[in-house]
Amino acid sequence: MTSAEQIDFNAYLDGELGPEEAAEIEARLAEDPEAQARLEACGRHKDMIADALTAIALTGPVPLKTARLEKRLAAKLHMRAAPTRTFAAGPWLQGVTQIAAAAALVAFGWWGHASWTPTPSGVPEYVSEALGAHTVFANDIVRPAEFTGGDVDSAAEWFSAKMGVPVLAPDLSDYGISVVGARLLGTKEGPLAQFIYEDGDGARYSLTLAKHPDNQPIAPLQVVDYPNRAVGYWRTQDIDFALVGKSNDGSIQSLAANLAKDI
Amino acid sequence: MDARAELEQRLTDYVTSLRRYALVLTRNRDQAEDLVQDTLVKAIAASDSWQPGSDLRVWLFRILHNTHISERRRAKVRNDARLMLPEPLEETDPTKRIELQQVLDALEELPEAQRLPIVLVALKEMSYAEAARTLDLPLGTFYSRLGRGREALRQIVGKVKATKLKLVV
Repeated sequence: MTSAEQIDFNAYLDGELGPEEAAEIEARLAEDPEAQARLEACGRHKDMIADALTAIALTGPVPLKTARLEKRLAAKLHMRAAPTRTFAAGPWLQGVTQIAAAAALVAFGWWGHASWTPTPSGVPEYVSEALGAHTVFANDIVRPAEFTGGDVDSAAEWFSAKMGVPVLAPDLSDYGISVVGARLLGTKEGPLAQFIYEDGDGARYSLTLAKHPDNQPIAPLQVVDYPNRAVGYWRTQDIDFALVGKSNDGSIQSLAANLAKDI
Repeated sequence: MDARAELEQRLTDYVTSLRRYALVLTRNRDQAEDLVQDTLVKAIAASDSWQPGSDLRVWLFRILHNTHISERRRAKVRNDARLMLPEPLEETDPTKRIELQQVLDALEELPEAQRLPIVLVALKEMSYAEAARTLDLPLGTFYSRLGRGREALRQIVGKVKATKLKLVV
């Protein structure tokens, strides 16, 4: 058998040929029992290898770390695939689609925010920054938090000094969520403190705190839903808050409502 | 199913295939899992370079393949442990069981350049063009390696069978 024939037979075996080419091979095989036997052996070997490969994945559960990474990659790719789609609007905000789209643009352009001024939208600037920071940091295990574990408390002291108001990471253990890291973000709105939390499933939340500007009114909780994350934000006398996390299950709304009530 | 759920489902299927392929490459369960995790970390970091609409599976397999190559270059060791394929216990027909073991043994004897095309095509999910892109090979080179590999596999298995027959006679 020539190497060209060998290639043709393999392509036939793997279903790579069109109907006419396949018919041609079948006609050749009908006249050549030896070639037919060879092809059958190759086909049998291919099936055996495929079955053995299929059995591999069934021999153990997916490790938690792999599953988490897979989840994070799905989130990243989904954001990449759907940045311009129409967002599902919650009933609590009018014109939310437009606001969400504007905020999403801010979020995706986060790294370039210093040189780009977004058009004013209904979402306060610090909330846009919080969304962008959540996208960049909380969902990204490649860039570690600047403060982790026991250092978060001392980080909060430093944040308070920098921001000029006392800030700390609220204890969310009642909700099965624990703090995993913290960082201070420099923005044109001034420093923002970001605390990153994780629930039992590895889903990340971030709570961003900003000093409340004197010239701004305080505001009750508002929630904006995105395809893959949600933000709840509210403004108090001293501090403005933005809680960002997974959407779809209403967890941000209930968590933010409880936090806004307690703090 | 919404777009997000659909993407997650696809990714889960791809990661299952990546884990199988990683086992074939590394021949070691722990190293295979590390390789898959490294691949996912790199994919997360490089997600901006993935073009929506392009083939996600080939993109992931390529990252895995290149990660494996550079890891191996760095380590400069050849792991000659046995190919990590499961024992064919579930096959009850003794003749088929023996042949399966012969095929897996023969696959192990092949040089990696011939083994990988066979494995990628056997994963049943890749066309020749996709498998060639994964391995960074021109299509013609891929064709000939697959053809040569399969022919070598068939001859090795045939030789083993002939030897056994002679012993029996």
